[in-house]
Amino acid sequence: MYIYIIKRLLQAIPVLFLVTVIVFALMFILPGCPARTMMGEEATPAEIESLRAAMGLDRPILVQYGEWAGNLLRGDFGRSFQDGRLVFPTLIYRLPATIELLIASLVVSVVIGVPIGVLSSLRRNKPSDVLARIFALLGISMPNFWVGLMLILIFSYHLQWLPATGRGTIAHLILPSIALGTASAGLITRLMRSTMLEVIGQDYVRTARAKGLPQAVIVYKHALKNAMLPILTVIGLQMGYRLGGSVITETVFAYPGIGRFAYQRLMQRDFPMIMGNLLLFAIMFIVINIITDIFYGFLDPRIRYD
Amino acid sequence: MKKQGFWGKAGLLILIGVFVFSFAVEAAPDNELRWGRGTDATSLDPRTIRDVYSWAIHMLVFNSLIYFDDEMSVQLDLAKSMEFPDDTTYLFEIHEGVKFHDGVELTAADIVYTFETMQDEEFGSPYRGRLSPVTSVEALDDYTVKIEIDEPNAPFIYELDVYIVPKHIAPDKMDKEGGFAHQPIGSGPFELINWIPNDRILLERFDDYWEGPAQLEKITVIEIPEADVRLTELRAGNLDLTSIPSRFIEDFQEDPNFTVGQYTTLNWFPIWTQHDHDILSDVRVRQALAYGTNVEEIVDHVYYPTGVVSIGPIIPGTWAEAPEVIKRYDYNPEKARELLAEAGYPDGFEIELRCSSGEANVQFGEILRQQWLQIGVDLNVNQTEWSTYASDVVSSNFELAYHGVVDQFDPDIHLGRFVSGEINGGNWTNYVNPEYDEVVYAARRIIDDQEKRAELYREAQRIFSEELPSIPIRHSILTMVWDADFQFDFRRGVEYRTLNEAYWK
Amino acid sequence: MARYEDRVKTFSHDVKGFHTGTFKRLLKNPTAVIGLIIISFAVFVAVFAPYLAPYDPFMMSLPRAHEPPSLDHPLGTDFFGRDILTRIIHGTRISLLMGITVVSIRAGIGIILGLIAGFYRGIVESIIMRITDAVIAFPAIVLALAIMAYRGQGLFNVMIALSIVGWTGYARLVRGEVLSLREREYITAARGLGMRDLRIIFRHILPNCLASIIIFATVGIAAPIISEAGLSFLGLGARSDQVTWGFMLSTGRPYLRDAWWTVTFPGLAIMIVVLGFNLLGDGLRDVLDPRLRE
Repeated sequence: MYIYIIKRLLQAIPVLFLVTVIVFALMFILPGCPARTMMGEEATPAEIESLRAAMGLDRPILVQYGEWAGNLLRGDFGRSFQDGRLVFPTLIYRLPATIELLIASLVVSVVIGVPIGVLSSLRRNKPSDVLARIFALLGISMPNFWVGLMLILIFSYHLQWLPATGRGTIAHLILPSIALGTASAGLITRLMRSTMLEVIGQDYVRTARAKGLPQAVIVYKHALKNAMLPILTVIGLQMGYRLGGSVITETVFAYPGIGRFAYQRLMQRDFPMIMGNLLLFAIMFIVINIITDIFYGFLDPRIRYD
Repeated sequence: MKKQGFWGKAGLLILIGVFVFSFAVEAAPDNELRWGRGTDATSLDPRTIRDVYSWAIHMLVFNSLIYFDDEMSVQLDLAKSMEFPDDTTYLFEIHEGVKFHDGVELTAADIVYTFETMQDEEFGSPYRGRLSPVTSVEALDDYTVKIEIDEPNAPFIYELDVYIVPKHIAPDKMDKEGGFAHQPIGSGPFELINWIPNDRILLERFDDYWEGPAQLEKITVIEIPEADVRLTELRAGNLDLTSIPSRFIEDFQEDPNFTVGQYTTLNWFPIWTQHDHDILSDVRVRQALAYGTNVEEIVDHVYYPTGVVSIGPIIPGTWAEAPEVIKRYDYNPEKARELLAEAGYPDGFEIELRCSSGEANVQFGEILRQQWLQIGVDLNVNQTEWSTYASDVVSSNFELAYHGVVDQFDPDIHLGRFVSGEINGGNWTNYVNPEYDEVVYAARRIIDDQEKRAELYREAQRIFSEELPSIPIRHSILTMVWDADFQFDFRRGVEYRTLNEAYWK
Repeated sequence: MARYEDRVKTFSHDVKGFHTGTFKRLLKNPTAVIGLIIISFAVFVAVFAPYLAPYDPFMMSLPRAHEPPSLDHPLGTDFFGRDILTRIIHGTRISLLMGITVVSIRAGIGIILGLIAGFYRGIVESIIMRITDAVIAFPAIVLALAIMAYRGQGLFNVMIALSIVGWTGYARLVRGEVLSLREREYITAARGLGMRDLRIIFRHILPNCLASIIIFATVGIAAPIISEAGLSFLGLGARSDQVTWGFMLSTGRPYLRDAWWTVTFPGLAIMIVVLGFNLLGDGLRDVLDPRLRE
């Protein structure tokens, strides 16, 4: 098992490396010339040259990358253009809020998606199945910010049951996590249903039925466990969408996480902060996938020997 | 079996985690003010910035020699007395025993230091232009300051509400990495505990404040860009003081749980026009644009009830106003098209308006665009966030721009934006008119005859309305709403200074 | 001498793909049919928008601002008194255009990379797949945001940003298909016969991937529609002289409390169009390969 974990971690390293290369490349390609962006349009060529020298931009690219990456490893993500503060601590301060939201929305997706998907597969093609499939499809089709706004309209403005914005109690988490988790819930429902259908049709399940085992036991002991495996992979992959969705969801709900912060700093053209934010998102995605894969390894021993 | 146990545990852990987080509830302590604003401060070093969002915090963290109240009269702050030995000298005696937040006493040396750094070319303070008349700032002794200027200058006194920084801490160079700008030390009634950017500013009462400690223990300034969210939070009891979308003001005025404070500001919002420009330098074009703008419609629809139509830079109700000489440009698209044809643009032209982000600006831009399409002008509205916008304006990097200038304590302050020379923060529009210059400068120099000044300003306004170096749009009414149990004396000019006397019932 | 193409053809029947009668079967599939109806309707609206819309989408009428739905204005008016139904009709154009363009570019990039990776294997494949993994690690919207921070706002930049970030799915999909195809007898036969690589790829491998690609792309049209709406909602996409549903949501949002129709209906429009593509994708999947799972 440990070998598997180590293998997995090692596999992540080249990807992490490439991620930093991509971010570094973006910082150079996108503005054309970082020095010019910083100095503005009226700067003379001489001024730009001296700024470039001061920033070390005239050194070979590899050297610059090396220095930048070295800083990253030490936790130095640079300083904000806007106020000169360190990027890393500013981002980390807001990270727990986003993690809370991600976990809460994951709970929502799984708690809604799994049971409905399972029930749907057991009552194949009956009205409840059709209804479930329709809801799942609707869930995937609704943009998360619209869901968020509609939830605010109904539950905050009209019914006044739940707060519309901010962070603090579980009540604050409910609406944003539903908004963020709906699409995922729909996907999980569909996936759960199809995987269960596949599993139920298999020989060992038919054998168990023939042996006379009660339905519930069959479902929970055999079918469900095996169906969970692909769900896990999908959850890991969906993290990417969830992370991206957090930007808009946090903005709609004025929720103080790194998603909303990315948007705020984007509007202020605070490039070091934006890039640091981007890097943080990518790192989170990779870490979550590693964790997911490790869980996968727990559940399915066959994977470990892949 | 093992696997189910694992899932069970994982699930439990998640639930526990969420539960624990839920107890990080924010309970509002008794003697605290939670103040919601739409924009964060830019810098807490008062020498480096001059925007209202930062300024509001400077008011609480620092002191100045003098300040101005709602009658535009001088009030003494650090100064114990103010004398004018002659036409070009200001003599201040300051209070003794004023302490900075670190315990060191504030002396005349700090005042001299503050002025010197603001005048220093290398420091790069935006106040440098405003302080250009100053020839010397001297500490005669520990508690006396003498300021000399180059020639008699009536409005200059309004530049002296500068906030004083401690010489032993504040840097003499603009600090790129923050430092003092993020963790300032001042002498004001509240000290800065922490400033989390784009989130909140935490202030606590300074117990050794020289006028006696404030009643409030804590002030938390929370940034919430969306006005309707601030409204929700105010109603929910998560905010105590904030501004809200203007269309809901009437609701709050009728609600006994809240107090609404309003005053007509000394602010002026025109469309600034760039004169270093082929099309806009023609006065007929500018007049055409004015005729093509239905200002009433805009003010009614976008700014009601907090907007008032403006006919010129002078604030209505102040001593220099002269509506009788001002040329009017009532909405008249026909006339606009005529003038444009005369100026050589029968088919109109394309032009860009810069403004900062915000719903009201979006709405303003859209309506303006539709109005100008009727006269053949294709307007492109370019919105950027505030600091980019501000720096572009200051470097005259715009064709048309829209934002407000504040605090016209003296008529010179807004009118002076259109003269040559580095006064009043500079002439972004690059408008040049020697006749106008003469009148405005002459009025500055008269320090003892307000009627004579008023006459000169009447002439200046007449010229302004003929020439239209910028197109007046509106003045504003500032509205703040706060919890009815919070006693807060909110007035023009004084603004948030009175927070040091505010208290909860 | 029989041409080798003919011999190759005899082996390719067992591969999933377009058989005769595919379209007929599609029309018998209820989900596909509903999806097709919705999409055709949307296309029709987009093409004939100026004729269908009752008002001018930009003409303001300030006294009639924020009117709730009525006979005059079935979906109400917005802050400027503009008819919401009209603006939704016009917004269909950009949504569909954005969806189709972005998917085309994404598919183009992804297919080429996937073909190369799957066919040539070795180092080339490793490099391409590692890059794909790295790009996937960036949430699409965040990467698009970063790109737009530099390039500025505007629908064109949105299109570029979205195209750059979404090709990874196609690359992985095609590579997977190619991997399983290249071991088939008729491919090895073709290579043995000395057929040029490019020819093999384009005449034999690609057509057999087509089914999966089409399903993926059909469902994939939904994503850029939602993403563009999201970016416009954040104020980064459309300018005020363009009409997109996301932009309508953005301008309506401050008035959610008192004018809910400015927000509800544009969002419904997005949902319906996206639903259409999802339904069609489901139907295609049922018809083209019943063995495929989501």
